[in-house]
Amino acid sequence: MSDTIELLDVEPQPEPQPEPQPESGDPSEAIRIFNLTKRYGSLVAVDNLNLSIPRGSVFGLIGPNGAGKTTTFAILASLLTSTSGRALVAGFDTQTAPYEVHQRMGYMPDVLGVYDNLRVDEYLRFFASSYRIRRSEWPALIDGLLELVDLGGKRDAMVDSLSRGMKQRLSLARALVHDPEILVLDEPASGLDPRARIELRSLIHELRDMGKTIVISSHILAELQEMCSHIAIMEAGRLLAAGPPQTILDQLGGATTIQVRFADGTFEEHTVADTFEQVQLLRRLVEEGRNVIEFRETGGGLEDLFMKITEGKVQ
Amino acid sequence: MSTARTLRVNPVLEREMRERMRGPRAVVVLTLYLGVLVGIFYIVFRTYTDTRFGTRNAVTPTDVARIGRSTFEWVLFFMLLLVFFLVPGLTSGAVAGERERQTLVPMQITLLRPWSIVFGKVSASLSFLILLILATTPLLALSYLIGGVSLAQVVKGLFGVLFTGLVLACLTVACSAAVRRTQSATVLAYGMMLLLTVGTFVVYGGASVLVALNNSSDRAPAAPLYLNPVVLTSSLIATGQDSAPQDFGMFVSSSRTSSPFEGTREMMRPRSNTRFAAVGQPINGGLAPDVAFVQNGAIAAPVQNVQVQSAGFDAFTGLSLLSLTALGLLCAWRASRRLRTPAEIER
Repeated sequence: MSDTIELLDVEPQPEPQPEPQPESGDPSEAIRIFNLTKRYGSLVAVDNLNLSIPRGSVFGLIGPNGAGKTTTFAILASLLTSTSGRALVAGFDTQTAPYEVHQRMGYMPDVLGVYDNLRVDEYLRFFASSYRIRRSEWPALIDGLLELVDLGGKRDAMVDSLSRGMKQRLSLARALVHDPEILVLDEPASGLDPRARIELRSLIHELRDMGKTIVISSHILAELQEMCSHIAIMEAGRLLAAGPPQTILDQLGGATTIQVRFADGTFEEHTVADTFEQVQLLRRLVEEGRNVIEFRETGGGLEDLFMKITEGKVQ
Repeated sequence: MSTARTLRVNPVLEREMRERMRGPRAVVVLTLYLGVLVGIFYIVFRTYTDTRFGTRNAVTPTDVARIGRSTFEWVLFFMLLLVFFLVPGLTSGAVAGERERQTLVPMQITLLRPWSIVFGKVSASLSFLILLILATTPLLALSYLIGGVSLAQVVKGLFGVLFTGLVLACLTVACSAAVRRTQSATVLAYGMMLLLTVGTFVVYGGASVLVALNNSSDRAPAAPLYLNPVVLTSSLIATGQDSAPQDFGMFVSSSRTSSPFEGTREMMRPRSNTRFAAVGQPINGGLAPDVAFVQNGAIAAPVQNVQVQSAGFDAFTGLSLLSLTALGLLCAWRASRRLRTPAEIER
């Protein structure tokens, strides 16, 4: 094969080069954000944010529109520079080592950009090529990805003809092309019908089981509560709370209201302080021989907590 | 295997070519482009055969050479015009269009470097241009067959058009990267194109007036014209020493053909110098030699049987090629600066 051809990039065979070393020594953290601030003129989009995202976690970032979630994600994806502070992704600084970050992170923006004139497999090939994956590996890679996001039958379809849910899944497959260890999903469930949402959720569970760290922002709080091992609540660029959902609920949420429905059609409401009391309540009702057919939290969940600690401030 | 290299097509180029050639647009553009050029060729050919052959009994080889030369120059001129309109139009969406379709961010978060994206965009634009130019080659070959134009000139002329397209593609990609909307990028790119073509003439004209007001017999400095692709192409196909008569196809060319590049030739000539105009020596002695001695742009005296001299365009061509290359590189650099990550992008 000739050495060079004009108009072609020549990809050298990988030579034994020293692996770039991450800056951070803490391998248990997938993402670390230090005093991150981003200003647009007088507007403070992200205000002195400090956050640590553990490896292997499903991390939910919650906040109203304009809270600074997308800006934070854009900085994590090395698309934006911060005004001050820094962020490490897999130990690499997002500002000084953007391509090391790109190599290790899959990012799915909140808007779906697709090329009108490409087929599904061509779309994925373009990104496989852009991530410098060998051409010989493409067929197996694309088959696997399409299988994973359940688009196996749409391989030859034009990207433009896909439904929104399918485009979302294709976009997710695109973010997974280079098998990143960290996946950042900005509002992946927005605009999806209930069925597509459930499919997306099971897909995220699958990715978590594959050992990926998943950072996700969403408005569907109940869903996040169920899905996430950790959450952070943001408003007006500031972090209000962060940690495992139950810990935050226990610390900040206070009492939880439980609605119980019985077989005879009657309802009862009980107030419990934490999960332990909740378990005790159910045990007591069952031991008393009451015919409980429904037992659910009506307040004190993530949504209640969210309403309680945010003030509705939108930038 | 250690020295083996795997060839990798630029991902952006590969995708753009796939997208461009899918759908009717490429076919329509190619058809219209060829339609216009064939029309021009036919009109020029008919005009010359009607006026030259209609009035005389004897048709000299020089007459035929004039037809060949004219069809060549007119077709080349219109190729340039079409490139001026097609390249900005087809390339202005390169980056701005990706922004509009929200496809730029997914591309920017890959391992593609900004210059690689710019290279892909420019080469995609250029590869379509190469297709257009290749499609025109038979038409120019016809001119060569008629005579009055050398093979070297045909090649140089095509190179001029291709080079112009390359510079315009770089310029348009830079415009496209600088603004958010394709529409604004299109306007900006056409504006820059007009600046290069008409603007440089205006500046040169202004300088000429100033020189004349100073009662100087000097010609205005040609520097602004270095950036003019029309003048560059004109200088590339000018008949000079490197295109000696024996290269002239079947017949000898004449300096007195009507040419769309006529006006530009005077501007490129060195100041107040006696030079030979574009001339050729007859292959078969005895046929009317169109050789003239030119001083300050006016024919001083017809001379016969002279050796062809350099028309003195070479320095101009070199400087022009250099200036336009620098402009193209500057534009490509600007475009990749705009695409770098992390970037200070607006919200």
